[in-house]
Amino acid sequence: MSKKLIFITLGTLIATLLLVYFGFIKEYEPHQPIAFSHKIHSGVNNIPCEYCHSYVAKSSQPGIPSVMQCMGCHKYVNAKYDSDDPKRIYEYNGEQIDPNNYLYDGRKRIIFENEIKKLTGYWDRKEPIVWVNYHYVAEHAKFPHKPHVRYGLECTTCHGNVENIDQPRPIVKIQMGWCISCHEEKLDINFKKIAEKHPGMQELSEFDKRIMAYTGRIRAEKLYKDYDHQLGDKHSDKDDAPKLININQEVAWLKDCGTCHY
Amino acid sequence: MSMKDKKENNKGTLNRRDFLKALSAIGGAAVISSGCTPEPLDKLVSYAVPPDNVIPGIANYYTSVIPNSPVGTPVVVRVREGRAIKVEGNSNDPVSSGGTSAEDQATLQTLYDPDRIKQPLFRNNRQNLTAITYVAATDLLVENIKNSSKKSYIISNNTTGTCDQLLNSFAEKTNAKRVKYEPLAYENIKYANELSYGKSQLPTYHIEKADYLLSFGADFLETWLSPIEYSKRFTEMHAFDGKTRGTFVHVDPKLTLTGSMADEWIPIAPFKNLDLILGIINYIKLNKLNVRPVPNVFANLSTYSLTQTSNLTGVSEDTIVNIAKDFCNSKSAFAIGGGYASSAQDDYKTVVAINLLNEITGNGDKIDFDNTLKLSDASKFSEMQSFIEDAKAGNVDFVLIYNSNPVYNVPSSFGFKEAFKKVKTRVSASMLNDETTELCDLVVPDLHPFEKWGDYEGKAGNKYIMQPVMKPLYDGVSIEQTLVNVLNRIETDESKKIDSDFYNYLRDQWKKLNLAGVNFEDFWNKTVKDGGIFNNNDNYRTTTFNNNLKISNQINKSNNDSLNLFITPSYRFYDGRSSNNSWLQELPDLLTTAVWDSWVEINSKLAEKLDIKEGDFVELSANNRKIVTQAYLTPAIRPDTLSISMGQGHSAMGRYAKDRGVNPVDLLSESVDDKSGGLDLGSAKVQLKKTGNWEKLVKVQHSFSQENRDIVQTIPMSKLLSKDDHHHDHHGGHKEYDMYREYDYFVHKWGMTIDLDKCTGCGSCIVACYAENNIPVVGKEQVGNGRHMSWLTLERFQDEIKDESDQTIRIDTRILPQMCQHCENAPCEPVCPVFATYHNPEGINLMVYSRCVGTRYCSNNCSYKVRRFNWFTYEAPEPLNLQLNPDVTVRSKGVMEKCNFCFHKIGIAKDKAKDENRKMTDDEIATITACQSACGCGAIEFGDLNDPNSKVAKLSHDKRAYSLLGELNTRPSVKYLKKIEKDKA
Repeated sequence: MSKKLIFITLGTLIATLLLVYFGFIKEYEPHQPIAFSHKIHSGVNNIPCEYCHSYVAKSSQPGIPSVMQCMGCHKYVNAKYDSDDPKRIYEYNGEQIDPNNYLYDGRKRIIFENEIKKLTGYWDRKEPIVWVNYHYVAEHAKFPHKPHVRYGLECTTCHGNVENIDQPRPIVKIQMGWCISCHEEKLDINFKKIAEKHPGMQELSEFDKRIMAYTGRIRAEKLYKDYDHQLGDKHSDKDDAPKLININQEVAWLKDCGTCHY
Repeated sequence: MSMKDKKENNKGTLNRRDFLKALSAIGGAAVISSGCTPEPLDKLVSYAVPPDNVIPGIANYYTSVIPNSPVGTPVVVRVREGRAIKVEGNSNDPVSSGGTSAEDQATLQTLYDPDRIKQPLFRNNRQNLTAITYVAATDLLVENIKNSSKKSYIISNNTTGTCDQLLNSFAEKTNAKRVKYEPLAYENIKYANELSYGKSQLPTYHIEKADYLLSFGADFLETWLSPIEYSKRFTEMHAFDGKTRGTFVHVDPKLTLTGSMADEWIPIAPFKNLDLILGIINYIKLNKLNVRPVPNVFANLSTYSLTQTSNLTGVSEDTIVNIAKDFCNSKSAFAIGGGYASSAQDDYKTVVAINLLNEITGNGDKIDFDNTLKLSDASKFSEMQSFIEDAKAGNVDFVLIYNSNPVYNVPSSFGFKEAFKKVKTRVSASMLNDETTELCDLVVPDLHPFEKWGDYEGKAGNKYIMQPVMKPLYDGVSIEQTLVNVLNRIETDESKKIDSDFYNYLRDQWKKLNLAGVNFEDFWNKTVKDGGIFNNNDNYRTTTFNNNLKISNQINKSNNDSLNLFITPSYRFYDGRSSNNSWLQELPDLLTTAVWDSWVEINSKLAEKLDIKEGDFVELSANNRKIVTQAYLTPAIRPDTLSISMGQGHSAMGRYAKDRGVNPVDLLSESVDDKSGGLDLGSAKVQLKKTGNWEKLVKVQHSFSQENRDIVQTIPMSKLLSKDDHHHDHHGGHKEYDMYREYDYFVHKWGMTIDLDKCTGCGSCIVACYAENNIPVVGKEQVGNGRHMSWLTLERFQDEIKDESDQTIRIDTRILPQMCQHCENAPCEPVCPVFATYHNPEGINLMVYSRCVGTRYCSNNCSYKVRRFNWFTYEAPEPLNLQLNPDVTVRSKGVMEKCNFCFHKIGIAKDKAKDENRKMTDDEIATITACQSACGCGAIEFGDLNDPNSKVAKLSHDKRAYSLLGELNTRPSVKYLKKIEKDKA
């Protein structure tokens, strides 16, 4: 082997290591156009999530605030402080926050006023802000926010305590296993609740449980061996129609692929 | 170089072996690193100023109108994030009753046409078209109008409403003559009605009131007068209502789509309708079957003996007698006619004879002159001819062409192109750079109806609002606004100036329509929301026939040597205005299933004689002109007739239309009917010659035979009426031996029924499916390879029924709309190695695209061959991608796909119902599938089979219901209702 080959091989190894480092080990740092801090907005100022992500309960997408919406507050809030004004510094969760010298995300120092000026710049140009999306579900899965909010899930369940973090990172790996495990967990809780009411539930086959999970209904005779027609669903007027017991089933059974992939 | 030299040269450098070693190391590293780079990041773009009423992820619906001829269709447009993505019918409208045509559905591709003209163009000194601004274009327009000293013309399509008014005042101001050029203007009907009833109008024919409908070449399910309306009326007349069902007889030289829906198709020698009708009238008169006296309109009526008529028309004497008897013996018979294709010289006489036939049998009361078509206002073809003469003589200085393409539509023998070139200033207001626009010096592009304000009146009294549903794609200005600007510039009198904003001008016009006198804002908002004002009044006054009418008529014996060319308007492209549309190009023509091209239909026996095979290039020559196109052989055309459909053969217009097929009108001679002023379509006597070239004719379906599998089943009327309640749907399964498990559907069991007796094969469901489900267009070559992607196909079966002497008695055409059958025992499911296709608990056979690895086992095992495989990643050119439905995954190479009952729409409907804590309503369920909501005649019904009260559940237990290939025991969720056939006498 010539010396050159050794050089090349070594070089390749180093390159590989670098690539592995940047690809695997080093966490990706998105560079947003404005150093927007969730901590300041959601934590310090206590703004509810839905105030800015206003479509979260209406649409599959939570929505990001328009520049106009930002300007609704920032027309007045410009965070302009004299550098010798000591009153500007306030305390949040035991941390001193200095608007003129704030360590953003633990990696860079920012001045609030400058960041807001960037925003007003966008507004003056009527230019949309292009944020970097780094908290998303893979493209081949459809994830609607709306039913999750309707069920009563808190934003923090999936997004973590954003009020303490400037730039929140995904708290979990957003992968199918995570979706399913959460749904199974919720289903189990639900099944237990049902079992308190309908003791026959414990003897239900796994398959019937799945059907119940999917449809929110179960045939009465499956829960009660000595099934009495009085217990049946009073809505069905036809006598030979299966009597169904409605179970308030709000958690989708995720093992039906078509729920998310279609 | 020897080996030794090579080695020496390589000394000190890397040799091949080492290089490969290093390469593998680098490659390995590359593989490792590519697997672990962070995923490409999406961008999240905020609105600067959020638009009102737009919630990302939720569709908005706006009413608007598609002003396509002949009557326009009011529609509701689904808009997602400011982009129109789907067209649905407006059920408020009594004309279309919520139906849409294939052309309407495909208008989205016209909106996002990649070949649209983006800004005004001006031909500079070097004869190049250069882009200018709208302001500059207005200046140029004003300047040219002021400079024109000779005659001016405005050639437009049949504009109505405010746009028409503006063009009129523009014409008045500039002293211009207006030509409302419509290739299909039905001059013959108008003139005949003027003679018969004193009204030069296109009336409404109440065919739904008839129980015996006789059509002489009126293709009312394709293009005639108001196809969506007539398919609805036809369904009303022809569908089984539990007791009886109307009979429809179609007389045409060629079996058209309309003819294939008929109970009986009578092939008649081309352009001989008049002779047949007079023969029938004469027979009625002689046998005293008439209820009213026969006025002496045609002096030579008595010469039309049965033998004579039969000789002239090629229709057997028995058939003539049968028609005459049936017509008179029916409770309520009705004859219509005057189709474009058969409007030869003196065709107005045919329509007069039809009116006479209706009159003497007491059926003239079904003609309604209170609800006339606005198409009646279109100019006669002779007016176009006088423009050509004017222009040829050099008397024309200024022409404005709006939404019209006469260079393509006027037969070239008239010399429109040459005459047009002599005009000093040629201005075009068109969306596309078509044949006429190509010759213009100034092009002021128009906006699509979905981008501008306006109005349209299809039938008198039904005024639709054209509402912009999205921002103009290229920040354009509508032609109406440009006209307002120009008018105000050339108007010197300050007081006569109109509102400088066209929107306000439009509202001013609509103030006159606020008859109830309510607050105008309320009226306007309600009208825009409803889509317009509608005339729901179906009452009308009957009109009296002019009994003193005299028409001279001579019997023309046709020479039998030459072939007649039968030019049919296309239900896909109409007259050729929708040709640059890839959905319509890929929509298979119903009766030939050919796509992306032209073809000439030749009788199989004639072809055999001339040794022509399908796909042979043949030369058709007439009047010193010739065209070359591929042959398509069919028994469903008379041997003395050749047929080509209109719409192809563009030499410009855009990438999908250009250089594709032939334009048959070019074979016509310079012949115009001098009485009615219509173009003579019978003037092409054609010589047919084989060229010797052959290419496969690209068709979707290759065999039209059912191969005795009884795929499209029929049921005779007598069986339907019998008390026998036995359900005939046999499926091959035996429950006790069935290897499949029973499915238990708890909440919903989605299913569909398709009424084969109602389906007219118009194809709007197919295009709607393309729009809804992001189905890719694959192009001619790939269709030729059998790779078309349509989820919903209209399978067409045509069996020739012959007697003992090998003579064709009748042609049995059956159409089957076929999509995934969503089998309970689906053959595709068990063979998928990765569980990409599976049965969902609501009875839908779903496809998980992200799991699919493309083995195609499922397609091989599918009994119905409804699965489509993406052989490539098909991408539409920008901006067509803006039409893509964001709710549906765009599939890429290597993925199988098929109908999923619009699964995403079920989710949306469910979600809405859950929000409001209720069950889905029937109306909601009825709008889920794109095919059902597009269907104008109610053939498709989708719903919950678990709900015993749902329409689909009731229909699936109907006597007529059957499963496709039921003996396979696949137990489909789609049930077909058998086509009803007349009892054989």
